[in-house]
Order: sequence, then structure tokens, then C-alpha cells
Amino acid sequence: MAAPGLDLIAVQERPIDVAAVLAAVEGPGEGGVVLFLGRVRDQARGRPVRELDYQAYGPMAQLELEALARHARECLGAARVALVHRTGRLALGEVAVAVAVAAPHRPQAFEACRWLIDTLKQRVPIWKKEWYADGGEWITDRP
Amino acid sequence: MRVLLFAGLAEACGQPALDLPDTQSPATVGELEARLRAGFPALAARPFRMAVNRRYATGAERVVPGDEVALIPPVSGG
Repeated sequence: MAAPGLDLIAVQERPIDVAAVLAAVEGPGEGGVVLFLGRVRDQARGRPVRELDYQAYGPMAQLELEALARHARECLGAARVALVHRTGRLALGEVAVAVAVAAPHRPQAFEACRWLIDTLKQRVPIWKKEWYADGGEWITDRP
Repeated sequence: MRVLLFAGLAEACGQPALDLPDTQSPATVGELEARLRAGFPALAARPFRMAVNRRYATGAERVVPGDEVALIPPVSGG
């Protein structure tokens, strides 16, 4: 399990409070904080996108995110980690995922944040459905 | 045994879960996958990984009645 107080991990329908994500990784010993936000784009693979649905296997996604955060702290030099992913219907421009990492210095913060978002996209059980003018499609390929 | 489905797999099967008779339990994850692919044409050629009790599982692991089994199609979060 995640160490209490060290990580903010959530899979949630409600909008992501970015200020709260940043506040969750604050600490007196960390000079570097990296924040990544994934937002809903208005196009994908050349097709205009109107909105997105995200579905999660919630309990497993939570466990996977906790494991990623733990790895970032134990192996990548992160001091505190926040991982928050939306579910449900999202409009263009909304924040779908937020990753924040605090570390003593910037190299660990950048490296851990990059690894976290890349690995989240590879293995956390969350799926995106893109809605176009003429219907929707679950995305199962990673370009 | 109840098998959870998500995203395109749930749409292809028209339901969010499959109920299998527990006749051949216990089995391995690999045997269960073969049963599912043979028994449900919508699953036959679709890519997915198996999860047991909310962890990705390998084909050799045992699965017993009461386990929470899920089919995980290629993920697309982020």
C-alpha cells in the first residue's frame, strides 16, 4: 500500500483540482516540483473530437497507481507523488490526468514525472472513448 | 465465475460481465482465457490481458471460484 501522507492517488468523476494536486506534494525538503497535465484535445489521428468518455476498472486502477507512486519514491528519487485521473464524460480542454512529483532536485522530479505518465498510459486499466460528429470509438492503440 | 469486461470488450459482448459455470474450476488463467475465447465469439480475436483479484495475471496462475477475474483490453488512459 502507499505510505500514508506521501501520495495523493485518485480515480474520480469530479474535476481535478490542480491546486490541490500541487499542494499534496508540497514539502520543506523538496526544491523541485514537476506537474504534468493531460488535457482533452480537439482532434485525434486527424479526426475532430467533440468530447471523451473515460472508463476505469476503479479498484485495480487505484492499486496500479499506488504501485507506480511507490516505485517513483523507492527507485526514482521522488519524495512525494500525486496521480489523479478522471472518469466519465469530459469536454474539450478539461484536465483528464494530473501527475505531480516533488523531489529534492529537478532531475529526479522530471524523470519520475515522465516515467509515471508514460507507465500510467501503458498499464493502468483506464480506457478512453473518443466522440466524433458521427459516433464514438474506444481507443485501444497507442500511437 | 463472473468475468468483468470493460470498454470495447463490454460493448462487443453487449454486457459488462460474463457469468461462467464453475464446472472446470480450479483452472489456470491460461485455460480460462482459452475457454472464454472459444465460448464467446466476440472475444475470440480481440486483444486483452487477464487480471485476477485486481492484478495482472500470468497464464500459469490458478484461478478459483470467488476470484475477481477481469479482461483488460489495451489501455488508453492519460
